[in-house]
Amino acid sequence: MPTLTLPNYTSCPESPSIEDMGVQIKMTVKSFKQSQPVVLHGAYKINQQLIRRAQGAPLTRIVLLVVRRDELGIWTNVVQDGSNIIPLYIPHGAKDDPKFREGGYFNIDLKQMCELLNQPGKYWVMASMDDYASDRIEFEILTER
Amino acid sequence: MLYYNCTKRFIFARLILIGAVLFVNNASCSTLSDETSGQKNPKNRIEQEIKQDTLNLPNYTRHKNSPTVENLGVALVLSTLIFKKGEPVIVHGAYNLNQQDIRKAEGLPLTRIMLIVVRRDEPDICSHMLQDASNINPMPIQSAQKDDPTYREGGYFNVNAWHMCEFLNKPGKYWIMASIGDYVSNRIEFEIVTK
Repeated sequence: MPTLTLPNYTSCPESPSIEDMGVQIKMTVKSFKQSQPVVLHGAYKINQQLIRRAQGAPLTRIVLLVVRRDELGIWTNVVQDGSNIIPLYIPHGAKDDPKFREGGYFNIDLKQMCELLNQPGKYWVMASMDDYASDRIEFEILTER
Repeated sequence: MLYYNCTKRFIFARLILIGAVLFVNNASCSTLSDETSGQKNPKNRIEQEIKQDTLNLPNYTRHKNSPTVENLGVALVLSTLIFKKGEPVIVHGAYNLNQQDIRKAEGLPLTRIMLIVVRRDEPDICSHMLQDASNINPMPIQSAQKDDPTYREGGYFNVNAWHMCEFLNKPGKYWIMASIGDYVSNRIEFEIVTK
């Protein structure tokens, strides 16, 4: 079975679906061993106004929150760092098409991004993008035996 | 002479009557203007209430706006959903926990409640514990006895989120939620607008 290369930003069978607009995340597994990657699948769908606000780079506007449930701890970061991305030119003036939607995907190893997850414990994760927030997913990291 | 006396009395009586009418008129005008100013400036009343609340923040007592928590968890309510820049962002909260949760919190649940504020129109976030635990001696909790599954211990908090999250001094769109252990509160969207 081919190993999933993470991070990647393409659709996969585990990707969540979004009906109209917003951001959503999914974990196929909710318990991970310490040595395993903590794989998070995500998707977003936005309109022209949000694409413009994101300067054509929506992944740089999706904030991930990971909170530890059994101890105090929180981590946050954007899915993609925008500092090295040249924003796309988006002409102003044209009237927005209210039906236009642009979507995308992300598949990441949360442990690569979030050092907090190096420790066994109970956590939850959610994503936030502009006026939208995803479901909150609880998961745990088990001690390696 | 009699006619002169009657005339004098008549004039005097009329003067008293006019005086009485003027007095009554004046009194009702001030009452009306009080009512009118209250109606025209409800903002004054709200500002006074906010001022009253701000003077006593943070506090950990039940407030008339405090949310209710039905079984276990934490809940939030905001004093309003649109705040002017510089105005206190008043958050009213409540929690209800079982013995296991109280034990995990070492008897100090407020030191384990995290307020999370996320900015919606720009990618930014702030989180802060409600109470700092560093100078508080944890209460000893005896864990030998079996937990009573029906036991509940609750409390309240009223805070100015502005004191915890400096970025709330910028106009923008935000949301806020609270988290403690396995529980999270409702998520509330609010805005800070320019004066």
